[in-house]
Amino acid sequence: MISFVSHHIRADDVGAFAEYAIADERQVGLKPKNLSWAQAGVVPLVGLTNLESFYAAGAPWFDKSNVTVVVTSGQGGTGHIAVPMAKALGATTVISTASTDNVEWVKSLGADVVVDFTKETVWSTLPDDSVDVVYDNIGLPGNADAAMKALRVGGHLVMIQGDLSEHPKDGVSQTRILCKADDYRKLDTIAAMVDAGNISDVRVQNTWPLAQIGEAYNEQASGSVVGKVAVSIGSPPNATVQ
Amino acid sequence: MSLRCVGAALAATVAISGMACAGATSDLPSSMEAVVCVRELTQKNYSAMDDWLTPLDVPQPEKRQVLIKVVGSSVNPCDVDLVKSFEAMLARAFHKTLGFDVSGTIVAVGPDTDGRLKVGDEVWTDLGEMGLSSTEKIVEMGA
Repeated sequence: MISFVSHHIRADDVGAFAEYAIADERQVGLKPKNLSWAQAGVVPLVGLTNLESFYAAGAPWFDKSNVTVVVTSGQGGTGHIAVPMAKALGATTVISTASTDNVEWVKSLGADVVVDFTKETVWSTLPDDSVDVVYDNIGLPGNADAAMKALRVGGHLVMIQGDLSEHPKDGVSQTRILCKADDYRKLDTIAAMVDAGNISDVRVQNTWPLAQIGEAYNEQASGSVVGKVAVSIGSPPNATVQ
Repeated sequence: MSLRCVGAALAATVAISGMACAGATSDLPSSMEAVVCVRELTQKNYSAMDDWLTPLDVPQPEKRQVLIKVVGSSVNPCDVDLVKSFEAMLARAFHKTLGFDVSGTIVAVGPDTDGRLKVGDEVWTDLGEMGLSSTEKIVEMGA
């Protein structure tokens, strides 16, 4: 089976793991002042992925009452941003999962219900036809079919990895998102959520210097990251040596 | 889809040096360190990447581009996929500098920008591909 990288590679010039990077002006937003440099360096890709996924699921949902959104993993890079973002986009109820040690933390991010995935699956807790949106940001085998049972007619399954359901429910959409990075206004939307205090707890599990990028990859590839793995590259402007 | 890497290479190999920028801080160095994909990694150990740090010319912003002095970044699942997948072959062939997430400050602005961004601005960005259709609606409404 061919596996696709879930993000489009830039078609010109250099990438981010460098002291200087070229960007198209249309994809560059102003950094929210409430985030540290490290925090601001871990949000854009996961934030845009979440935002596009929720847009594909009909967000913002302010014109609807009682919208229930499931985020299948609440403690990782996408998830810990997606939980408060779903609330900021008008979700009434957010249901997510975490390991035992992180259940209370994910609740503090704004989730109304957090299932301890070491004890049970989120699917076992959801009645059939009970949720409006499933944002599957982990893509475990069987998730799409399980999501179909939980979704009600008019609902949306959005996946960023894993396989879509081969047996979708009538009246339920399913979509696979590939994050696009072409519009700074989406970053501005995320920055506004930060400025408003909707997204306030951006978790950096560890920070590695550029010279140890391999260790940063090892940590990310371990599959058990809580929050994000950051890379520290240059000094911030006007940094004063204490 | 990611055969667009081919374009990356072409642009990267056309090094435009000494070209005047529309706006740049005066003290930019001429070279920098970057993590460049040099081979595919098939084992689940990425420590070898520590040796991928490579000196490169500091690029110049072209039309509608800005140059950012990078402060922070992160490793995403797609960054890991990139060095262990089929795409690593392409990335390696074109000496692709890795990484998508950026926080940093603008140090130079290229020609024909719209004036929104200025040297000194504190910014964030995802350097992913511009303008591609991102949403694959595989199945819609139970069709």
